[in-house]
Amino acid sequence: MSGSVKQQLFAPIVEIDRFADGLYRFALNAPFVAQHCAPGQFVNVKVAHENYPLLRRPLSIHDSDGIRRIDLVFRVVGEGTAILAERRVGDELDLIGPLGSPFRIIKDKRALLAGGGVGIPPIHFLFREIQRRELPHFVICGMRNKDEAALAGAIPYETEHYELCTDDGSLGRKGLAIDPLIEQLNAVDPASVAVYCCGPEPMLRAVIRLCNERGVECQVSFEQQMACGFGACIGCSIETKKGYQRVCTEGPVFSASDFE
Amino acid sequence: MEMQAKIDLSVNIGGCTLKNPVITASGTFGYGREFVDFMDIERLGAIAVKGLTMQPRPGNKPPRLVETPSGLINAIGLENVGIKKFIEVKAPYLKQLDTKIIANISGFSPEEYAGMTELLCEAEAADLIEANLSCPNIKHGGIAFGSDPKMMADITAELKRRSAVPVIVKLSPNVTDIAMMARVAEENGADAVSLVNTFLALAIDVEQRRPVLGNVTGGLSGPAIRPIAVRMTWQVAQAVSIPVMGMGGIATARDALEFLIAGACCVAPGTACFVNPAAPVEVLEGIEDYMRRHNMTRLDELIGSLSVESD
Repeated sequence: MSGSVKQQLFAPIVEIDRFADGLYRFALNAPFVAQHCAPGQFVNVKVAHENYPLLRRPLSIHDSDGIRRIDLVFRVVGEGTAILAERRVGDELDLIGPLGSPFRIIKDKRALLAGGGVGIPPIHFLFREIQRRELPHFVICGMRNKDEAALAGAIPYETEHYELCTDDGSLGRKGLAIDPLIEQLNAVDPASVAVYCCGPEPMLRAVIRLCNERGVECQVSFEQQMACGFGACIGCSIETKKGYQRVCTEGPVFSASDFE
Repeated sequence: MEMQAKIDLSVNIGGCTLKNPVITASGTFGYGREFVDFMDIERLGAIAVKGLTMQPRPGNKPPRLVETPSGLINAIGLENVGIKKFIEVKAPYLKQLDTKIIANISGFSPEEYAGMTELLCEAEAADLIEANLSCPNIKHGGIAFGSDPKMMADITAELKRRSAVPVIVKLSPNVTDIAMMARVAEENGADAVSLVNTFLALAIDVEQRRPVLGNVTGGLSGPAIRPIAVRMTWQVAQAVSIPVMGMGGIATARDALEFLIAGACCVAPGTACFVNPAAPVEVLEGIEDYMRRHNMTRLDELIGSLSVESD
């Protein structure tokens, strides 16, 4: 797996699963991306054939079989994703990828994974990789309600290495994903674990604060409006201790220590 | 079978020969290297790099982008590595490419424009210099220069005195009479004019009643501005005899042909490169195909061929 190659290509949709209100999983036949992507990376998808919407939509990779298939999971949040949701099996998606800097797996530390909402897909992909490498781990997923359970994909959340939280308590534990994360951190030596997180910005900020306070190694994946996705437009920059950094290139995965 | 006549696509800008009229628009092509995975960038007539300033600039506070119908408003704020680092780090790669390099420069005073020009020429880091007198996203930046004929005259004349390479003046569309501004550039020695830069724009988050962009206003680009850019290109091409480089919402060869027919001798896909990074090469192939279909062998037959006479 590598984070350095990318292509513009057309990938046929082989499977569509609308698993909750406004939540979709598209499986694509995209060998180049499947073979070159790593957890935390994304693809930038052209949603319209015409000029409106003009820009591509960045979607994080939920899974890859490493051979030909990738899964994308997205929520309909605006016009672009609504148009995307109208696609059918057999349609080809014009995409660029894989893009962005992936999570760096710290081999000698127990992995604590935390995903919130549509921030779960990259955490799911990372879980698959960590599981494949048989590294010790604990995964926490937070979502709105039980209808969204498929966000957790292959994560066997009813077993001891996993915790699922819902806002309404309709599945798993009621509350935010940060609560079980704090419990996990309370129970261990901070130097023995590494946290990997993706979710809405308030969750990221809370996790960054938590890990920085405790001296826990932590990587967070950010989302930002972007035009190109491959470093040319400098439009997706966010403020870090190192100055403005492009979410599409230096990110989307950043070290928590890059932030206050 | 009849032999296909060879098509000559070359363009002369102030003594610098571009192998074809397809270039990139500054600010939409990074420093060139970002696009090598998508196309052979050496097929382009020229590459205009991201706008440079004397000192490195961190750029504007996010959010820096907002999408509008068929358009994009940006307020990047001329984030760039600064002219010295460009010459040290970026230029060596660009120099060895088989294409012409256009260094786009923005200054906060005529002296800065002159100083950057001298540094670029000493290092032989550019084949052409494009003076950005019209960035809408920096306070006290080029916009004042680009809408003030006296400032434009002074900067153009100063650049010409200092530059060893042809000078292009990039025109702002945010003026009452863009043809008059083009004439000022020509009268003061500009080798070419390029137009248009982005249109000053504002997008509002109605729920918050706040501007969407961190910089409040930004510059609108993309297909939404194309018809205005074509009209301005046509007006400027009639007003000056120096080469006109056309840009503003070009995404396809058909779009580019409008600018050529209106009188531009070069065309630059810009915002399109963000969506379809191979757009410049597709535009080039489409122009060649069009010329073949219309039995044209020289670009001159196409440039400014708009007929407005009634039949």
